[in-house]
Amino acid sequence: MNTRNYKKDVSDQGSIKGQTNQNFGYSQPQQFQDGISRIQEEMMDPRNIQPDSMFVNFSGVLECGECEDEESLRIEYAVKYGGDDWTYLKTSNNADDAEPSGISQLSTSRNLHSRNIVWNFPFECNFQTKNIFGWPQVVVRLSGPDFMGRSVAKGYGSVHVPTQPGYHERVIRIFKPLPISGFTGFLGYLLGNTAELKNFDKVISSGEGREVTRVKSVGYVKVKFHVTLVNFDKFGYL
Amino acid sequence: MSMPYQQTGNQIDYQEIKQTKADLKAEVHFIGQIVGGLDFQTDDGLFCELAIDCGDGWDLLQPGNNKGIQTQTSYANPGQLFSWGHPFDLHFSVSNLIGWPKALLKVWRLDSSNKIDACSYGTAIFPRSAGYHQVTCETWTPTGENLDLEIRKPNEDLATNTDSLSKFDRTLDWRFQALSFYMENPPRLTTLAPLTTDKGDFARRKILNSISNGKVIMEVEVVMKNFKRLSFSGQ
Repeated sequence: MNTRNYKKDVSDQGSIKGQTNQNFGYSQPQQFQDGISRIQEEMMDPRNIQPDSMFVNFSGVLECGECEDEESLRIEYAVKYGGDDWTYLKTSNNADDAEPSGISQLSTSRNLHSRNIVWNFPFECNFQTKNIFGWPQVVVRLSGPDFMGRSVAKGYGSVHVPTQPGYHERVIRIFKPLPISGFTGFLGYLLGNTAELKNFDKVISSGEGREVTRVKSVGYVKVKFHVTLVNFDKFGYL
Repeated sequence: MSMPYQQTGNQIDYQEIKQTKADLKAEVHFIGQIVGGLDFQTDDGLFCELAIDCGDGWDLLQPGNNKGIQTQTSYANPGQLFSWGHPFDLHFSVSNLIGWPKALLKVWRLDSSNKIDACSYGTAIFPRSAGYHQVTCETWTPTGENLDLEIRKPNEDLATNTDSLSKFDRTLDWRFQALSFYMENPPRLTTLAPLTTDKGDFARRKILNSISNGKVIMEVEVVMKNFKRLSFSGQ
């Protein structure tokens, strides 16, 4: 009769030279001489594996901006993110790559009619995370020379990195802290101690403790973002 | 889409994983900032307070305390933006879609003698679809109450009432408005209930008279989890 044991069928194929009788316990394993089984291939297919973290890669350019009547400005940026769940992936072992930040060149507007200052300052950051809370923000600080040539802060602002993949343009509104009183402001103007924020990246990105500060709008900065998200659909987002 | 295997350390070790019920719950993140205020037509400093109003099925997971947001005080020239730039990051777990979160906004004025007073109110609804949105909320300042509407019987229509005395609108009385103007204290709401939609006091909003004021601009990114899986729209 043809009711032969199935195992025996498999072992019958073992007559090929160099092949051992391996029984995977599944019916119909297709074993090739120097390949992997279908089950092994299924287990290694990335679509079947649950990764353990998501990745956010973004790069962009701090393009241009205006600030009141300033002619020459430098832009500094720092990327602030939620501390515990997020990990900043360094691209080099330099000491200045420990936290994502950068300082641009000092740039000047082209002529007297336009106050537009162009930096075209590129940045790129890569993060690994398990949680959306603490999504990174780009915090910027504009600084430039005062009437004596000393470098003072001219404005601050922040914007969140876009959460959708692709190309986005954003406008950062810039504001400047006001001095406590007219006299303090005048003295600060003379001495170069205008009202500034210590640790501006922590203060601007969190919003805590800003209830009693006074500011004035002074301008804007245009930013371009390019965002790629990895593993977001496997965690249920996107 | 099922994920039967998880990579565990060693490259060739795979094991079956089981998903728990919490992995399939809907969650929403609202990430953004209160950018600023526009068209307020005042020389004083303005700051904004935001309170989040949501239904019972919404659980604010992060940040831990829901004490609301108060921005910095900003000054602006006419036509310029009052820039507050206050970032927020809200993480909700959704068990019931009823009561989609709303932002109850209250704009305060800080005048030259360092005194604060209410300026205007507004309600903004957080967007219901994933992605980047710019939310503009027009605000209004209450100028008084029309208490005659309280005296009217509940089923009586406004148009059918022919009593001429009851049509007199007490709040448009020039004495009341002059007093508010010279004392620089416009009427304030005693509770934020007229701004929400489902608490009991919202019905009393009909007795308010108000005047339009500037607008508050917010930028919000909405990230949704498991909405598609549960067949909720928006993701």
